[in-house]
Amino acid sequence: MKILPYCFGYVQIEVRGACPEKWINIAIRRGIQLWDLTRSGNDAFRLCLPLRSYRKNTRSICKKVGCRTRVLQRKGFPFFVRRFKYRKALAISILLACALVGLLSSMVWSVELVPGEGVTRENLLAAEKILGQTGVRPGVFLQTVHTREVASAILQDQKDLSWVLVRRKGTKIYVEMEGGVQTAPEVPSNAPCDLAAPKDFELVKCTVFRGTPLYKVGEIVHRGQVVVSGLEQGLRASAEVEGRTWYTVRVPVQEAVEQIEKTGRSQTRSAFFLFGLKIPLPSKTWLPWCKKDFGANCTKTTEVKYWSFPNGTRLPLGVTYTKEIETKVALRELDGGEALAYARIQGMHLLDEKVPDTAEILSTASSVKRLENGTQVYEITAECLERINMKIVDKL
Amino acid sequence: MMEHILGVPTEQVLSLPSVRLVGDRKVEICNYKGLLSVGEKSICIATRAGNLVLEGNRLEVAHVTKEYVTICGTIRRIYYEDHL
Repeated sequence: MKILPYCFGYVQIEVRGACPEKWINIAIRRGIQLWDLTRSGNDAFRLCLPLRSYRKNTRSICKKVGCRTRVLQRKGFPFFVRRFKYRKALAISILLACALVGLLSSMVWSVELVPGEGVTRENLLAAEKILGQTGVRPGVFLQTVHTREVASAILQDQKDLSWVLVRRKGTKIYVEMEGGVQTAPEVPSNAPCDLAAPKDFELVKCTVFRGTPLYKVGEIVHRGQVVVSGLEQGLRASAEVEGRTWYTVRVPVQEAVEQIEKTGRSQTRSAFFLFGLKIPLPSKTWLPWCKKDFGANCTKTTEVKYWSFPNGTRLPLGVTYTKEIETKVALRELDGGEALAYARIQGMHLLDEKVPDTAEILSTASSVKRLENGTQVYEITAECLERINMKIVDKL
Repeated sequence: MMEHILGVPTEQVLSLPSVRLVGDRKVEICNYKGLLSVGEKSICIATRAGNLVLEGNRLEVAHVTKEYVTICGTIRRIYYEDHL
């Protein structure tokens, strides 16, 4: 099919007469393009010619040569459009469908995180958060996604990532990540210094590379004391120090605690979502209480179900089910055992936050103490073995 | 020859037909004068050098303009009527 003739329309005609070759030669001399010319009988030809040339020239050529023409077929875009003269709704629907396809193909359909080696779940969650902050989500226009800026934002936020690539492929955004540590190049310094203790600890092991050790294994070192000396000899002290440390937390033993309790009322609300747009669906379990004070005291769990193709490709549309459970804050009195157990759990949480990840907990000890003001406290002490990051003291 | 001195192709100077044959499927003829007869088995084309006859099977004038004519089909013979 020829594109230009199709755009402007063309007709297939039959030229019948005593000498149809004459008709053809005259048409050619007048600059009319002809194609698909075949003999259809002893005195007839079938051929195609542009619609405009047919309207303009056919009659005069026929008069001159004494031939007759008959239109066999009308083809091309003008004739295709003419079909919709009395079908305006169909024409509008086709136009709208084309516009919709154009619009949808210029939008982000989904954002996919591709974790590489060494990428943790926390990295993915943080990356998702940054993607949300930078406006990279299903439903935004592809043109508004600045891939390089997003990648550098993720990389700046996540120091334990070594490489991030944000790329567009069709209507999808892929975020590829690789783990690793970005290490700043160390600036060598030869300035003399001492190594001092950053906290109290019992010296367990001290491997000195440069300088003089001032404490022996088993001795207690207090915060700020110099462990390895180098300043006096004009050396930059260097050593690996391991020590035994103690971490203590105190939690008051409470007789009553505030507790969130379920009231027993719940409902599930569903919504249809298309890209970022959520359209709430009427729910059968629509309870009246949700309209009044709902939202302040409730817990929500949302399940998202994407519609997808059989090959697993997710579409940016689907249904979300949000289960809302009404809760209330109630004051609950604790008996002696419960109060201690509650204090212990709280204490363990605090201790977990306080002890560095690199430290190895050797043992824990707990006791209940009564303070001077009469309040009971639960005290937990953890004995740890850890590598001490020594403090550099380079001035006397 | 003048065309050799000027470096212009002969067919352009003398308006002689130029025939380009693509396998046995297609023929393109430039500088023709008109179509004398068109049939499935043979097509006769008037040129300055004489009447050019194409013989073959299922011949069809695929495209024709003032400058050239393209014929498709299975081409068996091409010859000038007057010279045979």
